[in-house]
Amino acid sequence: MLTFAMIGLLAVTAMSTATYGLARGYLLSQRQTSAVRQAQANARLVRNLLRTPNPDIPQLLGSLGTPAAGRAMVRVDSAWFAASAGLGPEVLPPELRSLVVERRQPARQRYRNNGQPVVAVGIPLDDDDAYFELFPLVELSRTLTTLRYSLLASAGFALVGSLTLGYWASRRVLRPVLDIGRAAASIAAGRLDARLDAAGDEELFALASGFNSMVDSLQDRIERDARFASDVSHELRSPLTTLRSAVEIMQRRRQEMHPRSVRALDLLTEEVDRFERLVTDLLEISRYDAGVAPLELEPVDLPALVRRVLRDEGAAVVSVEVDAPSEESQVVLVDRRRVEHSISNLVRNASAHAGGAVAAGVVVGVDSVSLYVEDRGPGVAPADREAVFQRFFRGSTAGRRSSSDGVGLGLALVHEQARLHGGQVWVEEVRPSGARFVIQLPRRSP
Amino acid sequence: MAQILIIEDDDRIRETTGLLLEDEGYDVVGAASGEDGLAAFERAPAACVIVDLMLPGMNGFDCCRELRKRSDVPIIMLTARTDPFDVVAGLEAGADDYVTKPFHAKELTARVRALLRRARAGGGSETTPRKVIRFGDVEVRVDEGVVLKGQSAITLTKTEFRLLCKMAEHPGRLFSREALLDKVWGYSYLGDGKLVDAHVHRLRAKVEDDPSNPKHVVTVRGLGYKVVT
Repeated sequence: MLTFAMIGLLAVTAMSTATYGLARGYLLSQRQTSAVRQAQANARLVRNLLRTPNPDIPQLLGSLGTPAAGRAMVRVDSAWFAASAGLGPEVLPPELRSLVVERRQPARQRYRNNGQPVVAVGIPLDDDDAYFELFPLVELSRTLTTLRYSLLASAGFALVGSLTLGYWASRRVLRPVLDIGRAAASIAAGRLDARLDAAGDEELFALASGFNSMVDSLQDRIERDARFASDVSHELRSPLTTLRSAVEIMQRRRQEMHPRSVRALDLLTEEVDRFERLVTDLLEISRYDAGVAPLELEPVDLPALVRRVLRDEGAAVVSVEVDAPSEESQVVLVDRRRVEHSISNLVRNASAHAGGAVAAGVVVGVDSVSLYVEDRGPGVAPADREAVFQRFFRGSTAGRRSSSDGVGLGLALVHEQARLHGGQVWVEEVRPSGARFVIQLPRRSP
Repeated sequence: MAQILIIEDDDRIRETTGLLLEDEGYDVVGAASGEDGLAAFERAPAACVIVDLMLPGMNGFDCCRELRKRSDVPIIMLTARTDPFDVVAGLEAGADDYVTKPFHAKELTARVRALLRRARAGGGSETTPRKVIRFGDVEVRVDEGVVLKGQSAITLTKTEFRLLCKMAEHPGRLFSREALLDKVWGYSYLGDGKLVDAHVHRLRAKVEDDPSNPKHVVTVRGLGYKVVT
């Protein structure tokens, strides 16, 4: 844009300077030519009169045409006669005088007389007489001043114009590029509804509509995938409801059943539980994938929440360790359902893989709150500490699968839930053996 | 024994849910659509209605609304979604409580039992320090189960009435959502805050002059609700 303006400025300056130079040269030479012609005519008249005997020189000067009357001078026999007071040889530049009087050459010179621009024309007469006439250039210089100002003004206008035009043009050229950059960034951030405005510019229409249709198909695909998982889980809910109820009806009558049937029923019940959890988790995670998981913040007493989850899960943890500056600070704005779900997933994970949770706690920091669940199991190998939060993760110690293995989505959900809160989750080592899963959330006070 | 009407289009779910409730000693009547359910309710009013939200034809929300026009019978809705919007919409339509599929038997039966116990106990609470409570132009006759606004009686469901009485008995006292779940619904750990919020919202629509700017049933931000006289 600046380049554009600079070029504009240069062009305008060059044009103005050239215009001014040409106009000035032309006007000056016009004026001088006419001055010389007029002076020659007057000089001829004076010469003829001087050739008469006893010429009356002052009268002679007075008889010249009106404009010349006040501006003419004659040198006769080394004496000077002027048409009006204030004129005399001293107003003429010496170079001009010597050129005309001594070297007998007609000459003209432009100079300033009493601050006024004039052109003096000198014409040698007979002997060493000479005729001089001053022509004022005030009119001309005024015209030139006006011209100069108007050229400057138009140069100014042109500069502003070229700046505006340059700004507009560069915006116009760059805007689509910036728009695409912005749209791409927001799509990457998960806002799949970002589109470019394809209307307006014909040349950019192809680019914008191409970009939009690419994002359309991308969005379509992402939503289809997410919807598929969600639809599948939905469809599974009805049969699960029937299964669950049927199993519970049978459980109530287990006393009436053959021991082998009771064992089969218990296996069935466990599997229904696991199946249900998987379906619920799948539905939940598909919601994160589709970007339709809203964060519903409400004030929650975190230690109370952890205690309740531990009780509901039947965990053997005796007490919840609390490290908080005050009782009120334990109440924090979080999504109750999601945090509950996360803690219960951690507790279940501990009982499935590490013999159960042995400690749990809440730490209220300045900007964040941490919730943790500890076990005394084998711990998580350093290489797996990130991967363990991936979906359907199978540890590097595969092959030791127990019947309760396959939490599958549990830790991945803990990760997603922490992320939705703007927090994070990690696993650390506990000595001599064990793992501590930590959920750290930003501390939002109610 | 109390009769329960199950309106659910999935035959298997209807049958197993029926078996579950029959095990608990209830009489169960099933209906496969909202229209059938309403007709069944007309023939013999049930003590409690369980409605699936996703029904062919008349959906569960409309079915709730129609039932509410006829009766203050306790309604539990069944939802296949955990979508909070659905839950709130169902509660706004007049349901007293909800259960998400697939539910555990004890989740459903605990709710049915609690709602029936309340329905039988009437709206009034067991220990009432004051029999008539007034705030603004609202008069609550606790024993009669009547609420007057100005000169005219307003209709509250049993749950709404109970909620209003619990809070109005102690004007100015703060009730947390958990406390209200415990006192009004009778099971704190099974329910959730949305249940309370939706009922307070419905209650305001009936007793406040300007429900969007409540003067009597007010929110204590982040903590719960209280009644201001």
